[in-house]
Amino acid sequence: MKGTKQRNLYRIIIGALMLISGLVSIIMTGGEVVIGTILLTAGLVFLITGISRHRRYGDDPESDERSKKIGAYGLSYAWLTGLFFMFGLFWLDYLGVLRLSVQNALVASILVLALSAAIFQAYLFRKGDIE
Amino acid sequence: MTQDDLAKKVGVRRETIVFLEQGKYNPSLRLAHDVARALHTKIDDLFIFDDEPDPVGMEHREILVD
Repeated sequence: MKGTKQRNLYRIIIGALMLISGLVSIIMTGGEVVIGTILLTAGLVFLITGISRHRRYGDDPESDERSKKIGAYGLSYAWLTGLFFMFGLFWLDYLGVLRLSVQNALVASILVLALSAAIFQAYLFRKGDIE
Repeated sequence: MTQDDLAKKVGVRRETIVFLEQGKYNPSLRLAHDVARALHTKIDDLFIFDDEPDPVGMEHREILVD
């Protein structure tokens, strides 16, 4: 359990450091804000993740056999969902029904993959097991 | 012993113990063994599986034999 506490502490510290580095980078470089923005965003993600995980799990282990099993199955189902989605996109484009730019197709695929993973995992966690 | 104590003792999350108690989660043999040991009992006394119906009914047995 000490490991869990330390891991969240490291996340918060790294997040804070990246946040500060991003802010300093944006201020110092003036015109060039790309790197600063990336650092700022990544720092915020680390910070929010660290704080929310600490509040949610505290000293409890973040993962155990059940959460790993459900996580793996959720990702597998999401992969299949993404595959069918991209398959459908291909045929829609081939038949001329729907034409998306590469950028839009990629964004849509990423959204479907990420959302379906979250939905499948949430459903399986609520259900209790994969069977 | 509370659910939280048992969870900490066997190294899982409390919700895993909750779902185990409700019979909604099938544990690994390792976890079943750890829980039984933590509760000072045997696996057989903790986990009871309903007998499954015989997949080959008596009426089909002569088909298989032939």
